[in-house]
Amino acid sequence: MTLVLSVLVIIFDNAWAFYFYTAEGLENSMFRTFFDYVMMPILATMFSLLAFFIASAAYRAFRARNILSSLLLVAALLVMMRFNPWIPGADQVAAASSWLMNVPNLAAQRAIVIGVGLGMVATALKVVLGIERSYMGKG
Amino acid sequence: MDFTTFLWATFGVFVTLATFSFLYKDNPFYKFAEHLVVGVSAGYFVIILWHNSLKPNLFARLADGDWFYLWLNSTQPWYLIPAIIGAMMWTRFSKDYAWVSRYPMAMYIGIATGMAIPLEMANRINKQLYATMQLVKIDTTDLSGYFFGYGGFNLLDISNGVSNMIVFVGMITALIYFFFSKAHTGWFGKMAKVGIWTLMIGFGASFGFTVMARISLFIQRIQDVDSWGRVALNAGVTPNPNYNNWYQLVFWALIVFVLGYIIREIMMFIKSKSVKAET
Amino acid sequence: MGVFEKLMKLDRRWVFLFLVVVCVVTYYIDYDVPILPEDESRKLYDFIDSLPPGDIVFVAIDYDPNSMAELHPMTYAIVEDCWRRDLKVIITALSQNGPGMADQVIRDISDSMTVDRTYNGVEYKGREIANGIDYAFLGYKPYYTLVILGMGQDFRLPFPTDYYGTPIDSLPMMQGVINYDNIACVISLSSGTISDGWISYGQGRFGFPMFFGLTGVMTAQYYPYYGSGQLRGLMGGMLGAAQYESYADNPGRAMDAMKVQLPAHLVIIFFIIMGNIGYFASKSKKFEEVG
Repeated sequence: MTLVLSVLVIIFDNAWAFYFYTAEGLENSMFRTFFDYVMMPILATMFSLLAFFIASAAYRAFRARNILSSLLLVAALLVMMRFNPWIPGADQVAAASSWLMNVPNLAAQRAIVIGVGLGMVATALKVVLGIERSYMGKG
Repeated sequence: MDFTTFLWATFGVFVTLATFSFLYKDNPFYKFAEHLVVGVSAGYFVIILWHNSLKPNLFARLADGDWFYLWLNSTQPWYLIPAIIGAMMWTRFSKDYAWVSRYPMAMYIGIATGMAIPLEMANRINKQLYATMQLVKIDTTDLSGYFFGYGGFNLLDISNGVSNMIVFVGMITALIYFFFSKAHTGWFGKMAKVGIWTLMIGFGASFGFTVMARISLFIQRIQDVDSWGRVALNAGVTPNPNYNNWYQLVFWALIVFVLGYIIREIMMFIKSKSVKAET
Repeated sequence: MGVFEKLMKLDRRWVFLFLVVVCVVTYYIDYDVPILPEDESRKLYDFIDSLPPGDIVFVAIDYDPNSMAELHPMTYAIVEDCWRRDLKVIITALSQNGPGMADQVIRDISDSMTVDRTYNGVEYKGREIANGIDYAFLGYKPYYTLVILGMGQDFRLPFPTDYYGTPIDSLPMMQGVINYDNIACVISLSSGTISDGWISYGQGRFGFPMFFGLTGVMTAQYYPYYGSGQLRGLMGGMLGAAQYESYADNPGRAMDAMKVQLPAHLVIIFFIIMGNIGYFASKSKKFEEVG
C-alpha cells in the first residue's frame, strides 16, 4: 500500500504543484482540465448513447403502417441518402432531398413556426392581462 | 501532450467507456461517471457564474465604494438596485416572506413579455407570412415561364412557380390542420388532410437529420478515443518529444482493465446460462 | 417460431453491437467520401470569402458538450478560416457550458495557426494569435434574450469585461466597436432555443446578416427562416461542417467523420427495411391464421 502511494505521489507530485499554483479563476489549468477531460467526455458520451437507441428505434418502431407513415419513411430515407455518392443517381437524390427540404419541409415547418409564434404571443398577452398567473407560484 | 495531461486524457477515455457500458447494462462504473459529471458541472457552473457574471457585472461596478457606506459612495450606486431586486428572489425559501419574491418575478416576466409580444409577432409570424405571400406574386406576363421555369422545366428547381405553389398550399393546409375551432369535416377536413401530409414530410425530413445527428455523436467519441490512442502510441502527425514508455504502460493498463471486465461479464453470462439449463 | 419472429424479438444489444462494429471498422478503413456541396452552407462560405481583411465576424458558441460532435467542427472550420483571412473574431458563449468549449477552440486553433498552410491554392503564413488583436472572447452571461438585446445597444453593457476579466475597452480590436453595426455578420452555432433568440431578438431587431450552424436535430426546423431570408445561410449537422471544411479546403474531423456516417446510415436504412419486412411478414401470417 505504502509502495503504491509513494509511486502515486512521485507521479503526481509535479502535477499537483503544476495545477494548484497557476493563474487564478478561469485560466487555472485544473479548472480547464476538469472541463476538458471530465465534463466534456462524459456529457458527450451520454448523448451519444442516443445513437444506439435511434438504431434500435429504427429497427422496431419505424413501420410503413399507412400512407402517412409511408410518407414519413420515404422523406426520412431520402434525407438520409442525400449525400451518399455510392447509390445510383446520387445527384438526382441530392437534388430531390434538397427540394424536399426547401419546399414541402419548409411549408410544414413554417406552419409550425407560425403556430408556435401565435402561441407565444397569446401566452404573453394572457400574462399581461393577468389571466395567466401560474408563474407567480401557486395562487 | 505532456504526461500529466495524458493521464487526464486517459481518465477521459475511461469515463467514456464507463458511460458506454450502460448500453450493456447498468453498472457501478456508469454510476460513477454519472455522479461525477453532476458534481463537476455544478462546480463548473458556480465558477463560470461568479467570474463571468456576478464579479464583472455587479461587484466590479461597485468596487470603488465601501461596505460601511453600503456602497452608496461608489461612482455607479444605481447598480445596487438590481442587486437588491435579485436578492429578493431568495425569499422564496422562506414560508412567511415568499411573497417578496413575487415582485422581482413579476418584473422579469413583465420585461420578458414586453419584449416577446412585438418581436415574436414581427419575426416569427409577420415575416414568415410576408415570405409566403411573396411566393404567390405570379408573373402574369409569362405564365408558363413562371410555373415551369424560364430555362426548361425542372420539377426539382426550388424557385419555380410549382414549388412556390406547393409551399403556399402546404403551409395554409398545415395551418388549417392546427386550427381546431372548426370541425375537420367536408372541404375543411380535406384541406386538413393535405396539411397533415405536408407535416409528415416535414417530420420525416427531421427524422432523417436526427439520424445523422445521433450517429455523429457516436463518431465523435470514436475520434476522441482514437486520438488518445495515437498519443499513447506516439502515432500522431507530430511526434511527441517527451514520449516515454509510461505512455504505453498506461495505455495497456487501460486496455487490460477493459478487456478483463468484458471477459468477466462473458464468464458470468455463460455461467448464468448453464445454471438456467440445469434448472 | 419463424425466422421473422425471431428477428423481431432480437435483443436490442445485438443491434447496438452491430452498429458499433460497423462504425469502428469503417473508421479505420482508409477511403475518401466526396462531399456534395449545398447552397445553404455555400452561402456562408461565400460571405466569409467576400469580407475584406480586418472585418469583424461574430461567432456565438451556443452549445454544450452534448452536441459538440456536430458543432465543434463547424467552430474550428469557421474560426480558423477567419483567422487565415486576417478577419477578427468576437466570440461569445450564451449556453452555460459553452465558455469552456470556446476556450478550448481558441487554444487549439491558436496552436495550429503557427504553422504555414495552403488552402485552396493560397499559401497562408503561420502567425501568433493574440487576444485582443485577433479575437475577443467575451464569455458567458445568463438570460440570452437580454444579452442579445443588450449587445445591440453596446457590447459593454452585458460584457464590461471579457472572459478573462480584462476590461473590453482595453482590447485593441474593440476600440470603436460599439454594437452590431460595427460587425460584418453573426454566426450562431447553436443546439437549443438560443437560435430562436438570435432570430427574434437579434436579427429581427437589429437586422445584421445572420448565419446558423445547427445540430442535425434542429436543422429542418430552421428552413422557414432560410426561405424567408431572415437567415442568409445555414449549416446542418455533421454534413454542414464537412461542407464548410471542403469549401475552405481544410479537412478536419467532420470530413473524417463522413466516411463513418455513410455506412452507419446504410445500417440504419437496413434496420428500417428489415423491421418493415418482419412487420409485413408477421402481419400477413396473422392474417392467414385469422382468415
